[in-house]
Amino acid sequence: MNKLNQLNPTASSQMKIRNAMRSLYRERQLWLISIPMIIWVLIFSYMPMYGILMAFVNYIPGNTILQSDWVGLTHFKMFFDSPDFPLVLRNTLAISGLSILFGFPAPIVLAILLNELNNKRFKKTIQTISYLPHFISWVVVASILFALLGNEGILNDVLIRLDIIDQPISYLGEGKYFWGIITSANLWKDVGWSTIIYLSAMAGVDSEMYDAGKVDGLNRFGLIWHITLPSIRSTIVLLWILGIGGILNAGFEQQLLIGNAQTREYYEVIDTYAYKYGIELGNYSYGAAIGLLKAIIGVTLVFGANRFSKKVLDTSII
Amino acid sequence: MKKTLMVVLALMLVLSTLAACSKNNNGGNEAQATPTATESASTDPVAQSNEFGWELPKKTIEFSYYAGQANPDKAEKNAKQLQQYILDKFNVKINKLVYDVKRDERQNLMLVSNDYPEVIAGMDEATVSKWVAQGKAIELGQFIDKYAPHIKEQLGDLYKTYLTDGKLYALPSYWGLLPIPDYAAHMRYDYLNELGNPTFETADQFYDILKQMQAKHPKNDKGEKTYALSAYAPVTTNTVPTLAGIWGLKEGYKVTPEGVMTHWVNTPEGLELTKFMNKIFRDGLLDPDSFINKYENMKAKMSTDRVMGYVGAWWIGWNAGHELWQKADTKWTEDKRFMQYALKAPNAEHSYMSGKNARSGNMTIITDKAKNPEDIVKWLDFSMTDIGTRLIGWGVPNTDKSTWKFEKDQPSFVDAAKQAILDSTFDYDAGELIGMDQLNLVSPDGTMKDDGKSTYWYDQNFNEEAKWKKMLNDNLKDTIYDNTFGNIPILANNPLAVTDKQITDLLETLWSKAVMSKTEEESVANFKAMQDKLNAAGLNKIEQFKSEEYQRRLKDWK
Repeated sequence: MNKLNQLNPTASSQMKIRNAMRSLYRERQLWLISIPMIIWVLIFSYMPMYGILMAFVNYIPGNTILQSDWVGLTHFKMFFDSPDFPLVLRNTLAISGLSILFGFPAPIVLAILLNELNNKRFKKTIQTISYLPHFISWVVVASILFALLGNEGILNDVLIRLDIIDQPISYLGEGKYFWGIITSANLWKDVGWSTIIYLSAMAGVDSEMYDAGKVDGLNRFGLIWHITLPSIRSTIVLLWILGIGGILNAGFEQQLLIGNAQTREYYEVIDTYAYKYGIELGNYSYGAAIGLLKAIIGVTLVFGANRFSKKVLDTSII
Repeated sequence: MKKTLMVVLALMLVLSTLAACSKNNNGGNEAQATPTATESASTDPVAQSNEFGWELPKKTIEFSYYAGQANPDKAEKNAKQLQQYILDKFNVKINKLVYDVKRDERQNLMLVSNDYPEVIAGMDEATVSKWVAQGKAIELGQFIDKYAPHIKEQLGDLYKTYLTDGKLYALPSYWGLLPIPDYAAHMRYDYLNELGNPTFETADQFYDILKQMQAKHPKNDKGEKTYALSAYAPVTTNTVPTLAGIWGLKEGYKVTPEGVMTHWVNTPEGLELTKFMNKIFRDGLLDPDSFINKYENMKAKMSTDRVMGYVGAWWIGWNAGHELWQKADTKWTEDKRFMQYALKAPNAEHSYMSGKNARSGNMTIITDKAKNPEDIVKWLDFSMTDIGTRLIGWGVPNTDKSTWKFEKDQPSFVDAAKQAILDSTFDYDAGELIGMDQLNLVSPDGTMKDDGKSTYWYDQNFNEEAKWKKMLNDNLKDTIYDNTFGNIPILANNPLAVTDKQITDLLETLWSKAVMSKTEEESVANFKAMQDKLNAAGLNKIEQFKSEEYQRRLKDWK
């Protein structure tokens, strides 16, 4: 085939087109069913991408994007030159990194623990309780944190009463605590919810494999290590790749609600920065440039992580 | 039986429908029976004037205006009575539009969608220039001489400051200079009496007294810790300009007679006020949540006797103090309140705590959607007159709920409303319902020209007679100054706007570090580090921009 390609590339491409047409004809019913969805995706997902151009012009509301002055990469340069750029990037990577470091394995561990429970009623109760924080809004979470960790919060009160400290610690007013607090809050909120997909993957593992494992002398940990985990490996890899792609999604509401001027050096992330300096100031082009940059890095990371897992783990999503 | 029931029900339906229609018609007739200004004017070939001196138009003048972000239901409810009064008496129908969305976002959306009303109020000057550039704001100068004799007369010297290349595209609202203080140092008056009413003049003396108060009341009734001073975020906006005024700076800037403006961070006075705040922090007497508090948090502390003093807007001590106590505490005595005082640093030539911007930055435009802009200009012209200002500021006159009367061409205050202001029992919600400050398009809030003392804000008209208000004003009268030239905002269309925002954000963060340092040396080091970081971020450029603009104003506006 390779020889044929080298000898006659035209014939080869003609053959490819013919094969594609044949396949299209063979699957014509499926394609027909898909047409509305394809049109929907084109209209609502691809057409708005024309707005990306806003990042390269000086957009003024009232003008169309094409009427605006072309400024090339000026807005990107402005972001890189901003005194906040290193700080914003550091915070974004640190908060996302910590979320992946702790937030990625935590639901796997919890899902395994839940999967090991024999009492179904107890298991369901624990599952339901663990899902609840996901439905609590960040506004409420922020209020809980203020009540818990404020200068006059419960934690300081307890520590003072126990004579462990004599002055309250400003957990929410000192930047050094912020990453820990936000990571813990993210973890608390989403760990239960994220177990759903792992639990469903575990439910699909053939029970005969466990029986065979037991016959081979595997104990409970052995069964988890040699049967459960390898069986859900593709799910883990899939979520890991998606997680890496979203590494620049370090949060938005939680930063704005829990952060304050004293902790700004630790909470300002790309999304909050784009909102404050793009949308709030009416610099839509600047906001669009920051958003586009984030999207490009995200897509690059998804492909990178996919390639890595393909090479190392022989599993990939694309 | 079933058929009979169906027939009866059908008949009832038909009859009730007919009855309802008939009632509607009657209602309509009743409404028509009362002659409105529209009809009386339209049937009368000769133009008539009403008691306000307004020439009644033959055809109702109707326009809508966007007033900004607010609750639409509340805005509609509050504007209703005044709208009706203006329709009946002036034959002008004003539709007020507000949305529960940020003003800037809504204005941008209007511009993009080409869906906007005839008039837009509350614009900043950058937004005005954006609308002008799009050709969507009408040039008003062409109508001023012909239809609006009062506008130039009322604005006086300010008029030329609104011109762009000789053209007028927007008029201000809430402009003018009302010589009453806005900012002060607050202190618990009852606790001051407990200490024998010692006198004080400087910030250090003020703090010493607060410290004594705190020592005497280390905990409130609930056993919660008290503080000498509190603040709420952003402190560099809510407290520092007043604090800097104590050290002789104007709105946070040192201004030379030649018009060179230096930000407080780059002045020795800035360091002094930082050391002052740091000392309070190190003494453990500054509310540790000062940089985190929202206003409501600080108000909760002030109203539960946990705070002895505050530096900032005068109304805060009232709103978070006796206005709550007199309602909630049956044993409340009038001395239990925060009183407002002037302070001056020993080295300062003068204390500049309240800067007034007579020019205002709150602009109103007429858009290209207006079919008869000259009619709207006529209304704006009336709104700017003294009697128009009273109507817009004080609401509907001559009703049992009114705060003022307008009889035989003479305005006068309603005694009961005036007494309620003097007794601090005035019901502001009821005031809003009769339209007080609900339809301001171009009305001033300075003193009126006809009597030289009345003002748009109803409750500010009796300051000389209101004991506590008088005390406040007397205490602070020497700290008020005209800062019209120095009030230089950096507008969103200026490339420096991003730098300005970065500096504002950085300043709050870095200054909180300097204030909350454990030693004075650390505080000074943090202050110097802040200075370096802010200048590296472009503070010098901001200073240069403001100096140049100030100098231009000195040249062009004088």
